[in-house]
Amino acid sequence: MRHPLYLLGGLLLALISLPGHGADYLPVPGGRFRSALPVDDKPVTVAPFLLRSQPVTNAEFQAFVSRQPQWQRGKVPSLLAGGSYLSHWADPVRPGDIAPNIPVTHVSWFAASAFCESEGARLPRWHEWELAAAADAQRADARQDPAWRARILRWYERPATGSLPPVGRDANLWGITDLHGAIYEWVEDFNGLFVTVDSRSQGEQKTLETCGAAALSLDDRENYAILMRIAMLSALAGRDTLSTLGFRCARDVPATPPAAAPIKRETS
Amino acid sequence: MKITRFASLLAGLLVSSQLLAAPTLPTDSLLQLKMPLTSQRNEAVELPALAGKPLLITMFYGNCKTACPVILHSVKATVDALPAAQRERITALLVSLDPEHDTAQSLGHMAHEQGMSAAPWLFAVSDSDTHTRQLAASLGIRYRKLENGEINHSSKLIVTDRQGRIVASSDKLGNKADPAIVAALQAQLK
Repeated sequence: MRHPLYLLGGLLLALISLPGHGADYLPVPGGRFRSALPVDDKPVTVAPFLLRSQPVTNAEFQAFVSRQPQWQRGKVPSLLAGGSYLSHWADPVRPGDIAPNIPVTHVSWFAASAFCESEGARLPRWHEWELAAAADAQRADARQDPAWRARILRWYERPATGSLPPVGRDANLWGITDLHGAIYEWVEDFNGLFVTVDSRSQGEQKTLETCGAAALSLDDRENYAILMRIAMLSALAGRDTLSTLGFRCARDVPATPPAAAPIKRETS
Repeated sequence: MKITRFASLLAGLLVSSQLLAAPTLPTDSLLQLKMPLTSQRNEAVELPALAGKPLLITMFYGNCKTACPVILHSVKATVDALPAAQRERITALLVSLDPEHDTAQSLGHMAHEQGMSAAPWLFAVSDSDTHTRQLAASLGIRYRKLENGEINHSSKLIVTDRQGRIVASSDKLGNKADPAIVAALQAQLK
């Protein structure tokens, strides 16, 4: 029962709020992939997908909370975002002194998911993120190169002081930037990254509440940078926010021929 | 290409505005989650409509040979530990982790087999992995799907107050009820 003018208004709003130049979604080929978090000790199959080339910035998130005020600090239910949600911003709708072109952090998994939905996207799944992040500028999988590993690890050694760098650094083979060296990133299945075998072992089941020990039961203990991320994500709750935790979004590869996305609405 | 992006953006705007509902619930209530659920009786379940009774919640999946029978036993033992008159005053909600395979019909069949068809038992399945993960994330339940169709998941019982706020949880699942969970439910019935 939407009035045509209402729909037009929605289209205009969508036009105005189209994210800036950074929000390109670039194709990442899938394939069999040896994950640091293997399933049944076997390589996983990752379908080809589209990944946002850059993390979501403060400016982009500011546009989002203006369009969807229910995600503003102070308005969002505590079920969906903890007390430090966007706490570094000057006020609920403005980052203030925080640079517009650096990754937004202090965002919960629920808020990140909602942002991605607003771009017709979703959060990447862990194996998608890990596959994209395995590439360097020349190789699809640079993980066995000790020099590459050492370079990534240096980020973790730096104390987390000062401002985050602007997005757009270190494009890899797929054109994806900032996968290492700036922030941790939410993934859609962050609450699937536990390390235990299965729930038959409940009672002594270890769902990896803390970092460190569980890394030993992972597959690729040389790749400490990736293990840090897994340990970090698996210790989080969906409403948690951190100053070093941001996100980017992903999309499924559209079925061919590409058709306009259906406008999905529930009757209420 | 522009048009496609456009339309999907618009679709996103429309869909995401529906994540939340029922502003009268407390800000930390689970019942605010806007997710379509279908029951074992093939009826739509509106989460806000569950307000008013304490909830006993768990997540499971139908095609599960290992932990899920334990989960069903455990949740049953918990309800059985309540005096008969109190059992009607709670809702025991079991939500599927596997919307790809579980249906209202398969849940109905399972509920019937287990003698869990009628109130307080409410089996439910959502429409997508996305919505299912939102509920799991709210409950602190972790799971991942394996390529063979099995699902690794943490086993947990959760108790909420009458407005859907979590007041207790337990991962001590077995054939006997966890006394702490029974006590938490009874505290909500006073």
